[in-house]
Amino acid sequence: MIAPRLGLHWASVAWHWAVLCALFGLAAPVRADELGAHAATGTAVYRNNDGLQVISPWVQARQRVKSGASLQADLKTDFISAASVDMISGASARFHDVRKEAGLQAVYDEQGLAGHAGYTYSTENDTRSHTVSLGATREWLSRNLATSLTYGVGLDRLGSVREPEALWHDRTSHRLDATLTQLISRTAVLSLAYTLQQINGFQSSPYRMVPLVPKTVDLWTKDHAQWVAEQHPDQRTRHGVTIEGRQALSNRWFLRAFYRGYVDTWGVRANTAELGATFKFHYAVEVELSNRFYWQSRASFERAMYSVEREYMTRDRRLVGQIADSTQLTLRTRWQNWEAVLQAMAGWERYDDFRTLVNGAFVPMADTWTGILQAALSVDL
Amino acid sequence: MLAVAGCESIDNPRYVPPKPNYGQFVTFVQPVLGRRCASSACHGDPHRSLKLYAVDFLRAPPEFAETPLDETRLTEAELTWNYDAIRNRLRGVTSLNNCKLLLKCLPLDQGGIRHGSGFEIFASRDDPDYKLLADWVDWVLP
Repeated sequence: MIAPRLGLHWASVAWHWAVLCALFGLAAPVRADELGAHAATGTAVYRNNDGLQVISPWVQARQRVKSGASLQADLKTDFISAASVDMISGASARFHDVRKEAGLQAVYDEQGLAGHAGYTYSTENDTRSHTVSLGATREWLSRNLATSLTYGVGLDRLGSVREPEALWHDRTSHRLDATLTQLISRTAVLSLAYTLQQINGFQSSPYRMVPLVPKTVDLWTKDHAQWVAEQHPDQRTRHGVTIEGRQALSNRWFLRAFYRGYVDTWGVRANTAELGATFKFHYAVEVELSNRFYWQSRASFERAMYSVEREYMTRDRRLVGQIADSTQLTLRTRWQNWEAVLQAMAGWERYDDFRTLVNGAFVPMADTWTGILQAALSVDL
Repeated sequence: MLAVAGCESIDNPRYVPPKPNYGQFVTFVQPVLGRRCASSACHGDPHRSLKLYAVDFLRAPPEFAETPLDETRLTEAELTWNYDAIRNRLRGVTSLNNCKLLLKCLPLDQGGIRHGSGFEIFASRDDPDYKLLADWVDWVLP
């Protein structure tokens, strides 16, 4: 069953390329030096040892419509193949889904002032999503300082694929991003960013069930488990602060350091630290090696096992205490107005007392290994 | 700074599920479950998330049944298990039209939703067994 679907994935990659070629075709009658166009395409392949595979081809085209103003269109498809619809309890047979996303964005950028407004629609078997975003960037102090502010609102409707949409649920999210970037010296740049997100509405999985096991019996077998629907709070406020520094050590060597702190009203606290080094072999070829470490505490209502029913109960492993580490290698090459990027990432995740169901018993989940391969090609015309 | 943002743990009190009438469950609902839902290929399969005990099908393991099994009737522990399993699925139900437990038993053209087994349990809302279940659920609706 998987092999033909993989064939379908690559057919879709080819389709995305065809869309890009068509966009070029539309632009062909115009002289190249008048186009003011940018086009890009790529594919990412994600795979982990938990049976999840996602293949994501995408295309992007941007066209200048008048001085300083341009329109950008994006298309992306995710082909998702997972061991089970809820990835945790194996409550279903192997699961396939296709997520399609289309976006349109208007961009204005002239004389140190930039603004953008965009709309994105995405759909999959059990979700419809609309996102609108507005943002502005301003440069100050002879372009040594840049500030930007972006607001986005997302309106989602989601539910179980087994149910009519009339029974689905609503979810609304508001997101504010504020960024400040300062040139520290001729060789160093520092960025500070704050993200605030407020999510209201249905945030559980419509598929996931939570085992409820009385304390009087052996906790780690499913024989005595009553299964109840996952219940997450309807409101979540998330805060993230990011600090990133970039330093040129020489004409060839560059260092990048990144830290992100995160807290939310569900009790999750997370820290991300990343260190990367870039080496320019040639003015047109550079390689970056980076490592990212991630640590997260569990949500306050998350338990390895529940013995009585609570207002909120979860089996979402994203809400479990965990650590993760990943290493990424990026090769970037430029030739005239073309740029190609190849990325390979290998990662590892460990969950703190998160149990999965194996042969009727709840056993600690094994470490997860993740691999991502990405390739992208872009051109300015 | 983020810690000051008020992101402490949220209250998570014990949830008390709806309490439909237990006596009516034993008298009216359990026989329907035994007839229509609890066969070995359906919810009498011990690996189902909704596992139901019935006299002629799945019985509780001895350490759970508390009393010796009687071939003609369920033990109190088995009945309580079934009662809890059903009422746990009534959380958030505000009307018979959003009660997934009932809708899954109806054909799609009668307003039902897809049932895992693909079987239509009741031909319509006029089925006497459906009416017994619906009346019992209706008793706890707001």
